[in-house]
Amino acid sequence: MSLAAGALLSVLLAAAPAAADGMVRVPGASYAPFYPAAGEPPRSVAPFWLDELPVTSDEFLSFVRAHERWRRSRAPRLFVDDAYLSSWAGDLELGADVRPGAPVTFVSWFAASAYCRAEGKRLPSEAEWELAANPPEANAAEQAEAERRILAFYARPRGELPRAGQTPPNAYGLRDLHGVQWEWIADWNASLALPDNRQDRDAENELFCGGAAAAASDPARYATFMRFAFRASLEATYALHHLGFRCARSEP
Amino acid sequence: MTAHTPRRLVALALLLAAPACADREAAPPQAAPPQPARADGVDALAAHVHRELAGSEVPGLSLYQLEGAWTTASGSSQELSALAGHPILLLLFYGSCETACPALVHDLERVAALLGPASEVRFALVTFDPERDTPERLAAYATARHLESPRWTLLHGAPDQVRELAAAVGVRYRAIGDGQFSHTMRILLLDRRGIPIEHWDGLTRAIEPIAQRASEAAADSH
Repeated sequence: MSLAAGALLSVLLAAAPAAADGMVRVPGASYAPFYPAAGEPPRSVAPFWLDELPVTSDEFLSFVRAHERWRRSRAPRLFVDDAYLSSWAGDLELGADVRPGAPVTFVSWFAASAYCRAEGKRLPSEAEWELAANPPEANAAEQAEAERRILAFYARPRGELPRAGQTPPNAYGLRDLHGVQWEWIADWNASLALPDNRQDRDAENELFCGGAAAAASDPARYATFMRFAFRASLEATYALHHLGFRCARSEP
Repeated sequence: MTAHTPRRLVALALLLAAPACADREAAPPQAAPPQPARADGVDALAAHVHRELAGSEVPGLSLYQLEGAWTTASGSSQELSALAGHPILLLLFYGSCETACPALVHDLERVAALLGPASEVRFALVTFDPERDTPERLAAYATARHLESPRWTLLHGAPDQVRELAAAVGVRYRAIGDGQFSHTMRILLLDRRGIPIEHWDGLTRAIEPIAQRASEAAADSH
């Protein structure tokens, strides 16, 4: 390939991020856990595809239409708590309070997983989600802006969710990863509130006064710390106001 | 996950009923007495569990709704629901663990001894390290510790399957390199229908209450 062709190609790639079916390709990379256990090494993450946008209420409505088992009144209590789809007007009715194009929330991890499976996809792993949400090539200004948006989101009282796709795309072309809602990941239950309740005698200390943040790999990333603390507080049946999801797919 | 509940329940009922009926001339499970006494055997119990689940409009809490085949230490394939009919003490563990897991498994062995050989309570160990804990490794583990079938079942599953079971029972685990894991230390008691009815966390609790609660579960037809 000539130098010129190579340059042209990279311009094209920059202009049009790899996308298909509303999904975006995220290149593989090494992922260093934000809150590593003693000696936990970075892990390598293969390239994968991730939904550009979170799953919306109307998309989830189509899913429960097709899968009776996941309707609000039918879903087994092993899989969802009482808040499941509680913002909806009925089993198959969004109602006035839920915008069709807004991210679906009040969904449990089981329900989110089932949705992705029905789409031939899966939930992203922690490593995948964190890589997608923190593109390594983002410059300092972009990172600071993302951080600002996230913290503003944390500070905002719970309100109506905006339509999906209103936030600017990140370096991969993904939207709404920050600043709109929380998202389920496949291995949320790999987030332990205590790094290791088996060998860490001082574990309790880390529950208080930001001890865990101080032990994190990058204490400056307060927003990330919040995310991990949030995941550590979840149970798989929880359906929460600002907790939605998007799906991923491995590269064939 | 496209299977609908009624079909799953039928499958569960078949699963429960088939092996149990094989050695009996008895009528089909539907004809079993409404209140199965334990003396009537597992088939009556299975039929009871079937009616219980199938007739119920209330969304279930049974772990036996989780789908997917596991591999036992003997290499055979079974659904989680194959454990139905007995109270189960369940532990998620990993074989190369050198600290907490051996202590937890040892606790379960002591509970088994307390309950005595005639107890209906069974034990299930599920590895969250399927990569290293192959069925062969699980078999070696069971042999070394004299964990005999059918009282003890050691299960190997796909990573997603283990993650799902862990999620359903509130167990967290994380690979932290060198084949080691951070994990919740939780022993769970399931009733005959697979509903978690009690759990114990940590290493420093007594085992007598576990044996006590498990034998109460065995005295209960649920």
